[in-house]
Amino acid sequence: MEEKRALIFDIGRFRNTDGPGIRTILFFKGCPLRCQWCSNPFGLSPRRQLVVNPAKCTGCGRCAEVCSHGVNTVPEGEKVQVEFSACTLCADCVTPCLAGARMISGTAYTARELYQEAQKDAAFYRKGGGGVTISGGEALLQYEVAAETLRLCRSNYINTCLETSAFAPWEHLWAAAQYCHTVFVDLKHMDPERHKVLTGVDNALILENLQRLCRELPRRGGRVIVRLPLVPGCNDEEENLTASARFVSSLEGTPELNLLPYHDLGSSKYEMIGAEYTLDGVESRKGRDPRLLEIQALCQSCAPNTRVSLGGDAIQLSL
Amino acid sequence: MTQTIRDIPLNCPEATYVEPVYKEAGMRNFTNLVRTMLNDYGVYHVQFNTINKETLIDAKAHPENYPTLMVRVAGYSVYWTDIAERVQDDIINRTEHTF
Amino acid sequence: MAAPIAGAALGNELRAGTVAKVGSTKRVQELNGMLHSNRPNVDITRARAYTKVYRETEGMPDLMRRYKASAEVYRTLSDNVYDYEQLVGWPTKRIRGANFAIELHAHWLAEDLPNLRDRTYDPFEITDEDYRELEEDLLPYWKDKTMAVQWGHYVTKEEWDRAQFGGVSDVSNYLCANGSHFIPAWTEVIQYGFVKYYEEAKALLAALDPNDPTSIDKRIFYSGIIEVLEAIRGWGERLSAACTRKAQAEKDPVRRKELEDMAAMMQRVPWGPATSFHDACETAWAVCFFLFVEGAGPSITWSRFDQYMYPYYKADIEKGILTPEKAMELIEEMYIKVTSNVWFQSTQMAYIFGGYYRYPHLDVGGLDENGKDATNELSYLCLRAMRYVKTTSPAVSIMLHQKTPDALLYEACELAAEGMGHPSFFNCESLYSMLEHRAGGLHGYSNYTRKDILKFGSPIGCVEPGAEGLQYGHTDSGIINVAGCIFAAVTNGKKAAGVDGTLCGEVVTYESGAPDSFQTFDAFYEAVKGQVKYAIDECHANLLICEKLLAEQFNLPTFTVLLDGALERAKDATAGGAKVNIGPTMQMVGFGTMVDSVAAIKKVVFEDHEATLSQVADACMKNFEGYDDLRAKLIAAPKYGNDDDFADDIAADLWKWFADCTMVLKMYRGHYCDAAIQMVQSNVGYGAMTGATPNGRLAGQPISDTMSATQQADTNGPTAAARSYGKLDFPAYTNGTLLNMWISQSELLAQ
Repeated sequence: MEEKRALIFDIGRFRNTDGPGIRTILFFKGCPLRCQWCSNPFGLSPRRQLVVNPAKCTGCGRCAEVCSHGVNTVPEGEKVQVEFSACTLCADCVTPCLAGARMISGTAYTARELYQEAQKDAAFYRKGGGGVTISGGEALLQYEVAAETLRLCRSNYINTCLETSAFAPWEHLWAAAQYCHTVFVDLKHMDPERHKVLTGVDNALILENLQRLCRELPRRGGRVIVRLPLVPGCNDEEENLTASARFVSSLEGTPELNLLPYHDLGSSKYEMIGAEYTLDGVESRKGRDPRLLEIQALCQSCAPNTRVSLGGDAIQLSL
Repeated sequence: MTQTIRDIPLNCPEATYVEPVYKEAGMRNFTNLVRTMLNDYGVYHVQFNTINKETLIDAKAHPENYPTLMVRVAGYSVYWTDIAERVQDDIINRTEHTF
Repeated sequence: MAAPIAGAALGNELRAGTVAKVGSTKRVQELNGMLHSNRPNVDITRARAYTKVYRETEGMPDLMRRYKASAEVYRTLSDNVYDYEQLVGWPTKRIRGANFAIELHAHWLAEDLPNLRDRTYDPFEITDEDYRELEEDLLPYWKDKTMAVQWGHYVTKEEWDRAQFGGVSDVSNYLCANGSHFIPAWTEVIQYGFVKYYEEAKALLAALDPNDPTSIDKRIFYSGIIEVLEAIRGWGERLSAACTRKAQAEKDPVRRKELEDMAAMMQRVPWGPATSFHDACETAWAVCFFLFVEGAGPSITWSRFDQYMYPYYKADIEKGILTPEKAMELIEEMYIKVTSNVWFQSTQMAYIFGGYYRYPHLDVGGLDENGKDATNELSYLCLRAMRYVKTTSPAVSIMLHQKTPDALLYEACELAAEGMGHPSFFNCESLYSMLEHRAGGLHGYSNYTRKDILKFGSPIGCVEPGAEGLQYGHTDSGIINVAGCIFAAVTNGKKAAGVDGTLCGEVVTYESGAPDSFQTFDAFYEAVKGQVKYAIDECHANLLICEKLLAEQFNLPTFTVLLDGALERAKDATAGGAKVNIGPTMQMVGFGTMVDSVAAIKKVVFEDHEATLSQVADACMKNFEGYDDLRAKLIAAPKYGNDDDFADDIAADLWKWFADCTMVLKMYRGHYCDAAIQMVQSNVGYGAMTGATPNGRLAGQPISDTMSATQQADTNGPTAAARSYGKLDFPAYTNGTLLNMWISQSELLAQ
């Protein structure tokens, strides 16, 4: 029987935010949520798709010449206009683009192949506890390959992390999480209605999974870090912050609460796949912004026994 | 036990130097990169430009704002405004790595 | 069109005045401001001294004339002492001056003097008076006597043209940079002073037996050395007197005391032993600029400064006469002063080496002679001083070993995060391995002992392995443009039409086979190697002539004195006086472009059969006009720097092969050639002379720099690039390798 494959939209090497040390991040394609602020829109669709970067396009028109489905039109002196829905993913237009503005997002990998990718940087992981992080999209949509990849890495002494929304059947979550040193779970909003508006799904399953994970994972030698994306106007109101921090402090094993300031770096990616970014105009806050420090202090006061960290690179390095 | 700089109280009252705020994880992984590249992979020498690409692009357009900006060309640092335009272009065109 | 900022004129204008007042103390800030308020300028003191002596000594032995000229330079060097200074002496009358070597530069300067003040790259100021003297008196005497002119007598017109304009192999740098790439015997000269060599030379002269035929040349050698050393003693006395005069005119009692102390110091050093850290810094500074004045080339290197200075630092701290802050102030002053040494180059070479930089170099860290970690407080201070003073020179470096403490590496990385390009990171194990085989030939060994290497081994200039007081030879000499070789391999030996320079469209190497004659990749690959080998051999032949000329006529007494054992051997540095003689060496430029081009041809032509080699050749000839499809396919082929074995295997093979070809070549002084890959910004200059290459690069564009991946071709992040580089055999490059990487500052610093 052929090995199962998972669709991956990016493999990022030498990353430093989603786990300790130098990390290789495997981005699984496809997500059941539709968070308004999503910075990885290529991870939303579970299928391969054409990506065109208008910033690189020189308007040379070569893509229009090679496409037999009329996907690309280049008006005189302008950049290319793409009819994404007509694309058959034949990839004939990718190599001819001299500006390197085109790619097909989504490559199928087996768990063994993903492990091979991850172990390339093994020498760099040795110092500082680096390793592999599985992210997405939502990797649990392809949980078999995710779990097998994590198992292979863990049994080969590579530090393992999983970033998940926890919006998946418990069995799927646990299949992958059991091999992890660290599992990051996003907590996007405490109010079920609001959660549905912001992400498209209910939060009951997420909260339940999170509670159970905090109970189970430490017994296997792993830890949970709860991540709160701080999106101005969406979930950074005092009421939600207070409720979130209290909820985290009520969890077993007092997991770390990691505050993740919003950034708009993903906004330009939407037009590359013919989609629209609906959150335009929200301000990015960086570093030691006073408002961020205020939020950190507020959360800390509601969860006095919890480590409340600010920024993806500020997590505790290990247990 | 050797003293490190952090043990030497440097008391220079007229100093113009302002210490930047480092990103902890970025600096840590940068040092790990150097260590692994050199001490594990045996690479003999490496040097880094760390100025952001946008800064260099702006400096090319507005040199008057960057009188003391320095870049690494190859084995040596020079003032940005001392090098020819085509060398500036070559440096801007190199690969800038982000994490 | 952007503002006309090419060249340095604007940069100097911008920095003039107070803008550059940075440093740890007011004194350093003032000195830094003084540096930046001066523009690079020409000093003719050395030219005048040489001309005077050479006119007076017609008919004398060449070595005697050179030594007398060197002595005359010391007798006439400037004795300026400025406010705020604690270290005494300047190589020129004005700050940021160049006391240029007229005997190497006169042939081009005689023609280009009118453009010197406003040429595009590296313009120099010159006073009207000096200009007239050069034009009317000095240049006419020398213009037919320079090394480049003499070299022309030994080659045919065709060979001369090819070496100058072919754009594939090049020795022009070597013709104008005699006396360079050197680490003097710092430990010894600081500890004992020049008086040690003076007494040694006197004793050796007295012991000569006139009935021994070898004594004839030795007598001239020792007498010359003695004259030079006496002139150095005289220089110290003159500077001491200048300090005294300045002290007498000084109103501020604190400064007056400083100047009196400086006058006393100049009575002690550099002639005699250093008695304090301050004395030791003075010797280090004076010796450094002596060598920069006597030699015309770059890279006088402070090497392991934190090691040989540490005993003085420690003793003074214990005595309570020095604090870390005071030590740092002195180090910062040294950084400022060494930055003021600008490199004077021909207009043609400024095009390639522009930026005035003269490659001084200072290392910290490493191991001691017993193999123990050698890090000390000075290692940290030297790195920190650069963060405060922010000068381009010296190239501060860390010699990194497994045993180097993380704290020193962090200090170095914090300096790197400042964005000045400092420091360089060197791997000690590779350095030691390179030194073990330096100039030893293929599979051979150098004359270094393990102790020599551990105690004195350090990089010189950019990256070249060397050892304090033990090694002499110019290291960046023969240049092989391997991107040009690739163009020649697909076009049967030609230089591209329509690029910079002459000989365009003509055969500049040899005919290695028409493109349609290659049936297999291996056959084509042999042609690529054939072209590179041809260039290496041609370059080697030219270098041999240069070496002969240098040894016979362009001797260097101060370099010789500071070479361990050279006095006993009674041999000038240029004639083989060093324990380990090295160079000239072969420098490869355009490695990434070559590898990517070979990989693209292998993939597109010989594996995927998407085009023929004739089509690739035609595309390169026509700069890809009408070949967009083919170019796109070539660009999409695997590239070096992405941890992809398809390209990296080719890289590893060509890498080793180039070194092997080089290391079998015997040089004029009897040792073997070394391979290197570095060559500064020459990737831009040679790129301008190189046609379109099969990696999709257009004609005239820069070729890949140093040993780095082609610009923008390494798309998988720094670890993937590092792993690609890590597949190469570094110790094979016994003259060093240079790697540029760029890490975004926003990853390291919060804004």
